[in-house]
Amino acid sequence: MPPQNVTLLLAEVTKGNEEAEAKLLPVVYEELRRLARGYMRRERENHTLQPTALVHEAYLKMFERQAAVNWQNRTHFFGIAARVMRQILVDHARGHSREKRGGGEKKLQLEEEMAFAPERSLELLKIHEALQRLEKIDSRQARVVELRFFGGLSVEETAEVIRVSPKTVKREWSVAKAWLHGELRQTHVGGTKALGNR
Amino acid sequence: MSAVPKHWETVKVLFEQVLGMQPQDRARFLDTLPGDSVRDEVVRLLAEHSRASSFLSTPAAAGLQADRGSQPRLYPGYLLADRFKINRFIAAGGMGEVYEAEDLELGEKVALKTISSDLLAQPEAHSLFKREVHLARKVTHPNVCRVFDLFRHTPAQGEEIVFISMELLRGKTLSARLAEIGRFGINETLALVRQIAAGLSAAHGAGIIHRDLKPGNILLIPDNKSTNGLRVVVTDFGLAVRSIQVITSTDSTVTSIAGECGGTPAYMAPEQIRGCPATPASDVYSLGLVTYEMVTGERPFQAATPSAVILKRLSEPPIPPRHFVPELSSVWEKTILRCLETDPANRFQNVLDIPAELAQGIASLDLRSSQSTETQIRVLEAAAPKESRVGKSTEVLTIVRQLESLGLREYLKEEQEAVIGINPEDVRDQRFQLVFSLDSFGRAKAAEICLRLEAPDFEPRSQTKKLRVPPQGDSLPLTFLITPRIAGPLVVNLELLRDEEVVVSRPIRMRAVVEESTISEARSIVTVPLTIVVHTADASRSASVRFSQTESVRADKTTSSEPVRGDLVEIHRSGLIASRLRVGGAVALTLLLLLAGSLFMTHQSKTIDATKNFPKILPPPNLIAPQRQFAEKHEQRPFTGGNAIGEGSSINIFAPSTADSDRKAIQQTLARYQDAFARKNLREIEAVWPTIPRDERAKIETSFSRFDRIELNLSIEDDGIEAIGNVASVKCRRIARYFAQGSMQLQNNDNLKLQFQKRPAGNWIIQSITVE
Repeated sequence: MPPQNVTLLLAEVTKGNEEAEAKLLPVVYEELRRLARGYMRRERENHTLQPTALVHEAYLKMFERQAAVNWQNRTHFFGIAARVMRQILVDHARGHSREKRGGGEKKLQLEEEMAFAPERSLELLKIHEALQRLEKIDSRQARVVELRFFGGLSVEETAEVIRVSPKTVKREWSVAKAWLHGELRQTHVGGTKALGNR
Repeated sequence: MSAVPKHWETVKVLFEQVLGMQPQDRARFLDTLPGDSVRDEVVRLLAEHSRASSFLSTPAAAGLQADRGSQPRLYPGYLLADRFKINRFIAAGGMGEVYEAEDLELGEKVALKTISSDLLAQPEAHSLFKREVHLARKVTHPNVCRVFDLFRHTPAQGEEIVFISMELLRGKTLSARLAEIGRFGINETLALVRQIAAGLSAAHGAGIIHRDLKPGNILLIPDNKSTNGLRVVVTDFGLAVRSIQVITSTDSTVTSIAGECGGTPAYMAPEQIRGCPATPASDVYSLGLVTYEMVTGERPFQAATPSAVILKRLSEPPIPPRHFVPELSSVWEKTILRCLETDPANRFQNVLDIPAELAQGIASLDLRSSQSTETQIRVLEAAAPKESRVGKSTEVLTIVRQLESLGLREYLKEEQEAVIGINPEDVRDQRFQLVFSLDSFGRAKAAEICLRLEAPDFEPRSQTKKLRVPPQGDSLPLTFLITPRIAGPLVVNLELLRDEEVVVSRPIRMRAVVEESTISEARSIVTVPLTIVVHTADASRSASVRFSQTESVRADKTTSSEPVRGDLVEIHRSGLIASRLRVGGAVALTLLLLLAGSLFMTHQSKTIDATKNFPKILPPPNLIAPQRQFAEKHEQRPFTGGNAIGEGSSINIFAPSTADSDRKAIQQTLARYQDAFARKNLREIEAVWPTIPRDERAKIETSFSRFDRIELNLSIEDDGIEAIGNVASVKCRRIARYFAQGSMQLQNNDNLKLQFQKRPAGNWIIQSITVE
């Protein structure tokens, strides 16, 4: 997609256009995934993926040269990127080779380059599912977890994305952490839940 | 599966409230709540909260590892042996993986090293590791990574994990540092080699051979207590025992060694490659290789493939280090090559001999005048007179210089007759120190001497002279020409600049006394000659530094209104003993600084154009602090250091605009600005600064109300602009010291942080503004 169109889409998203967001997601998805793979190839000594660096780089690549992109757009982009990161990571943990998105089917190649430790994959999926339950109880809290845990955003960045004070973010974060921890322990005690399509 | 909590908002509020309480108050508070589902949920969340400290603390993606078959088996939060909780993966090596973990038993952070199952598959592997750990535990030395214990962990599924707990060190590996900087200077190399050798020696004393010393096993840890700010720690002692045996037992051909070796065999001694037992001399070989690489940035054996390198090591002599670094002393080359002897018997038998020999190399650079390597730094001391006379007949005042070993006052007392026109009491107590450092090869770095005057009636106010050390001749008169319009307090600030940064600054206050009232109507020339003398360290011990009075020049007052013209006066040359010696291509020098404060009038007929001596670095006009105003108001104020910032003075610094639209641009420009600062690139700083968008209605006024207090007032005249800070009043006990250092940082309670930097031109500018 030409950069101008991406910028226009982001501008639309900023205005609250959900259709535009639906169109933008797969583009961001592709870009992040591509970058992640590049990172993995480059980083020889430290294999750890830095989500923040990834998101920032994706942003720079996609929008930096566009004059129309302002500070607010950037914040919005972080919000979108966190959602996409969650999707990428959960897909990856599931080990799905195919993922429906953008109307077409494309092969996911992320797992050729990198992998979670098996135990970590399981934990990630549990967190993802518990987070889906939390969304029904307290959507803002779930969003905080998504931005911080999946998007790798700092408290301050998270606060900017959801337009609350950093203090509120910290408070929501600590409640959500306690709640999710409880959820994960319960699923652990009750045996392994059916996860995703497995 | 828990039900959706009811009254979720109430739960959240109560949860937060309880969290904010002291632990002992929590139970009491909870008891006051009605025993309903809300209370239960709060209690449940509190319990979870206490267990969830590290939960979710690493972003999800951090667990994602490059899939090269080497991804860590353990993930953050994993509990090993019911005692160690994994915090993060640090690195993977030939032996296994290294993690940072928390020792729940002792509440400490430790490093855990897992032993790869391939190694453990070897017969007797366990007992061998046990023995090594047993020995390594006994070594307690600051330069050796502490080894605590060997553990086994049996997970629910999968194979047993054997791991070693060790001291957790936060630093860079030597290999990472080498990759960054290419190579080290000899002084830094020696400092590091000393520590490495000390660590190895302690281990050898305990009967442990490292066997796998390499830059990747040497950690550089920032440490203020160490002399060079680095603690060097050697890790993985003795643990390579198995990996080497694996290599040697698998296949005897050289090709397979490179292939089988988990790590790099690039630093192993030839006898180890051949499969002979390692001895302390094997570590000497490895340290020789490490030293070689530190000094040259190269490896002594070079070939296209690792196996070809090993072949070369077994069959060829190394490339002499001077091939890469011609200026390296022969002592260093000899020492390094001796470490690399193929036959262990020909190497140093004691690892401590290596730094000792290398130190000899540095000492010989210094004409063998000192046992210490500290002689690479020369401290120069000088002082200035309190008073000078300006008038028709001007008395040449003093020059003071004393030998390094002597205090200034002592020198003056003993050699009073050598100092003309000044009493010991006239000399300020505080000595002026200029430290010139020489680089690793004994070359002195270029410096600049800047003379600043804080008296309003002298022109020019600032002059900078480039100072090449050593200068072409044996002595170098630096003459500054200044014109006093009237007599009065003359505050001279002498600064040493290096790379446009003020290294040392020392005020010298003199009072120019008017002898004839007519002086105020005329322009006069004041010359303050500054003589830098370079001579050898040896000579400095025997040289008697004597000063003779220069001829006082009697001159009629000049009536010219032309630009400053004056006489360059070289003084005291006859009394100086100076010589140079060349040793091994590097000049070892002691610098003597002679500061001559002499004020006198000269006859117009003996003039030269002085304008070319005027300052090269001029501050951008918008940055000039209104020190003139201060100086006019406070002529008689005591001088506290740095420039004319003292009681009651203030400087105005334009703050960046705070308008929202400019924020990003400001941040980017400030980043460039800071970057230019970090690289000390004055030209770039000056180029960037004017481009910082600023709103001149927003000013930060910094006033130095007393000597111990700095006040910052951000005054914004336009209501439309949001203030970023109001008032910061910072109590600083040693403001003068900050000034002398050339930078200071102020922070108020609102997290407004201002970093000031003193410019070579003497004024202060804000280097960065951060709002946290």
